[in-house]
Amino acid sequence: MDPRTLTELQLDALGEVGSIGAGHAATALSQMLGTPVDIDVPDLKVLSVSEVPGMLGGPENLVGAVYSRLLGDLNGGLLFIVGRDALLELSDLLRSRTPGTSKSLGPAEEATVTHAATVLIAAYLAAVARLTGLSTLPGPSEFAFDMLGAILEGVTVQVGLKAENAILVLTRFSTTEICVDASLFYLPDPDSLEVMLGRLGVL
Amino acid sequence: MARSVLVVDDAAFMRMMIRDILTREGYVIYEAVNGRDAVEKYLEVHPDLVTMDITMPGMSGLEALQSIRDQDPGARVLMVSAMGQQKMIVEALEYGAMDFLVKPFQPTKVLETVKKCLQAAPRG
Repeated sequence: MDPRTLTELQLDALGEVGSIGAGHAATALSQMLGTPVDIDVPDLKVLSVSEVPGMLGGPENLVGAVYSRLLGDLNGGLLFIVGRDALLELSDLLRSRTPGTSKSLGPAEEATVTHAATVLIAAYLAAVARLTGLSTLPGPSEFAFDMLGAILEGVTVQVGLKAENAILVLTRFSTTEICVDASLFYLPDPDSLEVMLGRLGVL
Repeated sequence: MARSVLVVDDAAFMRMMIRDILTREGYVIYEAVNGRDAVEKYLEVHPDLVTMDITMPGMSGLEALQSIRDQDPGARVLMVSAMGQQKMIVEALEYGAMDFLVKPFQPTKVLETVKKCLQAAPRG
């Protein structure tokens, strides 16, 4: 199934899946930070993988990314992307430091953000699983800090180039201290998209 | 007489899901697509219950809840949101919501909670 042929109701259903997933990810983040976390209305876009860098500051934009391959009833991958500054601020908050303390990305920051992103991805998928009745789990997470173009290239090779299109959920998580613009990509295997829409009753 | 429910959610898919669950049990459904629309529709149709999403563009569900309760202190509002954080739940209950349902939900849970809200005395 080509994501570009989706009807308005199907896009709306996927948007709501993204919105519920983001709400649960915010709850998980709030539990990690010990403070309320709000989200803006998530912005859903369906686009080809080659169009993604244009949406997020260009292919040379330096970003942190955590990638997880899906296991179970759905095939494809989930990619969490956050800009360099937001990544450092998020890491500071998770380590109970004042945002702005960390100036560079070291092993501690990398480990902290990978852990947080893994929890967010799991919370997101748990919500998707409950909504659709499908059994789906995240595989092991991999962290990368690189230019956006290079990260997307690596991930599409891993998904086996089946996912020519991405479903992008742009979400802004905010606490009283920081705002983190994060992007979550679902790179669906075309067959899996059909399975999911079928379970949602909008195929 | 059939009880009426105003379903408020910016996602057409979610309105459709809740509508399908409730109409099968004989409820009369009205719909609103955001907070502002919800306040207008509430004053127009005076439903027995409102199911209210929180994260919506423009006026949020919490703001709409306050506005509706300001104008009708007997309004019954059930929050339905994926934002199940303790603070949001407490805030919604403080503003006068009768209950809080976390998305995603089971149809039986929706029916059970709607029934419970309609049987309880409105929060004055």
